[in-house]
Amino acid sequence: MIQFENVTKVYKGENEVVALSDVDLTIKDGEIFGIIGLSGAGKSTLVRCINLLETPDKGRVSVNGVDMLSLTSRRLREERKKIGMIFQHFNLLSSRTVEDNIAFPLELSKVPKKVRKEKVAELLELVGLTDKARAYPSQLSGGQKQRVGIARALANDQEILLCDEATSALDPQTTRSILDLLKKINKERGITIVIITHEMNVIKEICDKVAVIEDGRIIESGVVEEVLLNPTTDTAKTFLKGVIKTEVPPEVAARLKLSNGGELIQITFLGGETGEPIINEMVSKFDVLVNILYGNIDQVQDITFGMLVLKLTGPEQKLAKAFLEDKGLKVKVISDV
Amino acid sequence: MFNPMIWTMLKTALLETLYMVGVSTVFAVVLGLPLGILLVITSEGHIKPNKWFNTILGWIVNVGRSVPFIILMVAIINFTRWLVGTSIGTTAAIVPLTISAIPFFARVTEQSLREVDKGIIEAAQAMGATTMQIIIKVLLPEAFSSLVLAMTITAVNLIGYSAMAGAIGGGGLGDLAIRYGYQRFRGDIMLITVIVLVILVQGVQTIGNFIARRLSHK
Ligand SMILES: Nc1ncnc2c1ncn2[C@@H]1O[C@H](COP(=O)(O)OP(=O)(O)OP(=O)(O)O)[C@@H](O)[C@H]1O
Ligand SMILES: [Mg+2]
Repeated sequence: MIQFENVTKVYKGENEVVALSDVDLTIKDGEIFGIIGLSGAGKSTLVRCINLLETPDKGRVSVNGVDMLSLTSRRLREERKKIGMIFQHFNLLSSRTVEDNIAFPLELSKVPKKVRKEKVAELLELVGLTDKARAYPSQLSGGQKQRVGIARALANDQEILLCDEATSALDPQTTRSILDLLKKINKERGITIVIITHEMNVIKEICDKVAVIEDGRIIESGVVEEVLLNPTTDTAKTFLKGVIKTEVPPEVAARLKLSNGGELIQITFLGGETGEPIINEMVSKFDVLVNILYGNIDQVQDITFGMLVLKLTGPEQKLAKAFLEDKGLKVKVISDV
Repeated sequence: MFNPMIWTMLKTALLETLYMVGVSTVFAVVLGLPLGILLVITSEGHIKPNKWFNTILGWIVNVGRSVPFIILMVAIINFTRWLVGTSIGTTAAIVPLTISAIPFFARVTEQSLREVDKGIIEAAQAMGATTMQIIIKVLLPEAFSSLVLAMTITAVNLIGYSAMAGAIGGGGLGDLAIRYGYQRFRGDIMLITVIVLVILVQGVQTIGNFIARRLSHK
């Protein structure tokens, strides 16, 4: 478990920058936790405060119950060995082959050569680079380099993996394969993963929880589906725009306005309910006619959610709407769009 | 064209130059490398920042570099005599050669090590590496190829200085050129000495470049 309590970090200099301000955050074991924010929001500072690459000015950071700020430098190095980290620009040693890069953290821990070899072979297998063992980083593609980074970050059987924009230098397809790999190691090893990104798609793809950070403050956090569906801040909404269409596009809205009679409602649904034939049930129970005018369905992890614009006509409109709300759907009247 | 004695003299002089340059390069590297490492790691934002230490060390290195070789050689004559028992000859020349090359090599080492990507150093820190481990397992190997070039430049410089040292009683090719070529008006000997020096410099540089290229995996 990673815990931040009132963490503040100020970069001093000609003009002071408050990179983190009073951050409280709890990341539980085994979670894939996403941190999203615009450039300069303080994302990197936040993860770097976990392994103390940056030292907070105020507050408490604890990792698995260990108060990181109270450690001697020797103990800090021991704790750092339990926390893997991968980077946007991979940061592999160009003078070492793939296998020697992966063996590097084991060398630091003075693991005997024989054990190192076995471990490296196992990790190469895990990240699918067995045939590249003897290659140098300069001979690899970006995706392959990041795989080496991941293998290296797991070599000491780390319990936590920090990813600072680990996919930002990669194309969408490679990003996907790296995210799949992260998901796999999370499942197989139960490792806690903290992912920093400015791409909502990354969050949508693999995160369980998400925190939105702006100007050094966590402005929103929670389970991914909930934050995605009910963003309360403008920043969160901005991120969502490109990812999930929960809003009726203006040109569609204009067209809908032309259809008169009845009432236009927008329903937003999430997860479980979508499996049930709710609309069908509504029509059979109440005296209403339903016309589906617009819809959008998306998938976040295993959970389906989306939005439908319906036109209801008939005497029992009100009852039908109440029924939908009872079923846990968010209903919004948009007759006046 | 030349009588055999000249060839013998030339051979002896070349070996003396190689001896002076070889030994002083090795000493300059052994003593200059740690200084270069200290200059880098104690600089601001590096792995062991220490402003005072860095400023003072930088200052000493600069002083060392700004003393002209010929003056240095004369100025440390007593020290040379104390260290090697004599102040003339090839072995004695090694002392000022080494001392003049140490600050130079420290600076070029500093430049080479500074080029090592900050991100890589940071990754090593995040993995719990000690300062010593970062120096030995990250900084030096990552900069190895550029350090070989630094050694090459140092050796080339020392070839030039050794000729100067030779001119005032140090032996070697410079000594030969002065004694025969200049003082006895043997232009041919002067010419051939210069040619040998040029070939030597070219050879050292070519070998250095070759090794550096082979070592680089960038
Ligand atoms: N070493 C530093 N010295 C001074 N200011 C810094 C330093 N590192 C970061 N900052 C400042 O702190 C703020 C937060 O930076 P941080 O790198 O955490 O942002 P980020 O969210 O990771 O941005 P990006 O998406 O661009 O990586 C920024 O305003 C940045 O300019
Ligand atoms: Mg960043």
